[in-house]
Amino acid sequence: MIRFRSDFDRGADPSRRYLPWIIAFMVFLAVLALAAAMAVSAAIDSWGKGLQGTLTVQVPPSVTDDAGTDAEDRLAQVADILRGTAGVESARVLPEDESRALLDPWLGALGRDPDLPVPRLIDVRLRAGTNIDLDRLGARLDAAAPGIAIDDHGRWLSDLAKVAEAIQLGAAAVVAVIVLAAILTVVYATRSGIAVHLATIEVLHLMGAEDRYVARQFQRQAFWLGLLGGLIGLAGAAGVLWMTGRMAPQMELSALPAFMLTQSQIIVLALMPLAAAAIAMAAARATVMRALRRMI
Amino acid sequence: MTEATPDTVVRFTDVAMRYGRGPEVLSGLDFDLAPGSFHFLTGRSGAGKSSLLRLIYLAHRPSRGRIELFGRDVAAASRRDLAALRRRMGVVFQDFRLLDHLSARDNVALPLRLAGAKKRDIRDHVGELLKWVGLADRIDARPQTLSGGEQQRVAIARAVISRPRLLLADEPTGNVDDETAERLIYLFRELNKIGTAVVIATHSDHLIRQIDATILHLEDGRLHLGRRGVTA
Repeated sequence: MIRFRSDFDRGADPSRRYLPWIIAFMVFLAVLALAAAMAVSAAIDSWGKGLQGTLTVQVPPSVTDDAGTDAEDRLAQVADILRGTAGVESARVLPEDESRALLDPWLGALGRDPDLPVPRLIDVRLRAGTNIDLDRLGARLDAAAPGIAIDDHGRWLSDLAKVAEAIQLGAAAVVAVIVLAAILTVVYATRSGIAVHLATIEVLHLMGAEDRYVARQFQRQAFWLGLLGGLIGLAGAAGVLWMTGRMAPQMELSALPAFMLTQSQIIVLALMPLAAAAIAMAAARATVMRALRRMI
Repeated sequence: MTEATPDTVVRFTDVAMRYGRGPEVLSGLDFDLAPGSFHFLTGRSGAGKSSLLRLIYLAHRPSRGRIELFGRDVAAASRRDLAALRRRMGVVFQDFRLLDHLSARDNVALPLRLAGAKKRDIRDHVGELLKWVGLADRIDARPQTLSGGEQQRVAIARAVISRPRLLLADEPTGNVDDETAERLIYLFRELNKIGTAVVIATHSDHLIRQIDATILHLEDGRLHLGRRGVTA
């Protein structure tokens, strides 16, 4: 650790021993909370982007007659109408097996039963910037295949946005609580330091030391202890994130995008020890200045 | 703060002092200390000598009255100005108040460091002064390894290292042998010759007889200007 000249007996201050570990624990939690929020937000953003500019047209099984002979024709007819609609880039009829496979998470093998009528799906891709009148399109499609439903994923996207917002708010609340706890910890540690060094502070004060001279020594110590603790916490959190990143692909959570952080997000997380050090320094300075103002 | 050249270093006008809500331990203090003056502060134990010194070196606020230091009303001074006023004083505390974790050298260097002196100047001046007070071989010693007399000499060296305009000393020769006391008194007189106002609180008649100085005698919390000392 960096040594610096001090008028105070650093060894006499017990807060030097515990403060870095408390800061380390806080930075550890803050980094994990932020990383989790960033990863979940990125995943939701990725899902949202994947759904933007798409429509899913659901053709109910009722459009198929008893023999089921013209069901494919009707599907093709609906797809043709879609392809002929201005702004539609492509319309792909999902094969029946693929439609049934989507039900697997809910129905399991039952969904594969050919006697179970399931709706057929058409995946529609729109050209960028296209704004389609869904009511008019729905009316045209309904004429060709009654009971048809068009899903523009608006509700799903809206729910995703709400989830993302909730997660971000939750993470912000966690970080805010951690910052508050860090400030209180540093304030009490500094107060204990002031009590330990009171005689020295009085001597310096009576010899003409300005408040900022005394405060500078406390804030410098708080900065380095905060940075040390922050680096320990960051190292611990980085280890946990690395392990999570390695384990995620083995968890069969194929619906979730890979646990990835962008470069800018990594930089933000890497700056957490510096932020912790700055907070510790500011809290120590404010505490010392306030205590010194009580002396004449 | 501007460096004016006032006609008084210390001016007390109807000053009183009390600790907390207790009775006034000092009252009706009216006196001036001129630049280059030499004073002994006398009185029985508990008469208030240390309290009066505490008022002068700004460790305590008066309960009433007005104190001016170097022409500046201390009640109206900002915290930075008060710090600057303190840096123009040297104080030898009765209990020395050396910083135990610092060497004799670093203790003596503190006032220069606070005044922003250069490292080289600090090293040279501190070494020279510690040699002068007979502690050349104890320069790196911590206070707890020094005898009472040695600690007192370090405290005196710390008080005079920055050539203060006002030197306050509370029983400065109480723990030293006669020869060392003579050297310290010589040091005070030399400082006094270059314009430093000196106030020494003492019980020692022997010390008072050595210097032609004004006596500030405290009795029942009031100050009486006394006889001048006899020139040694």
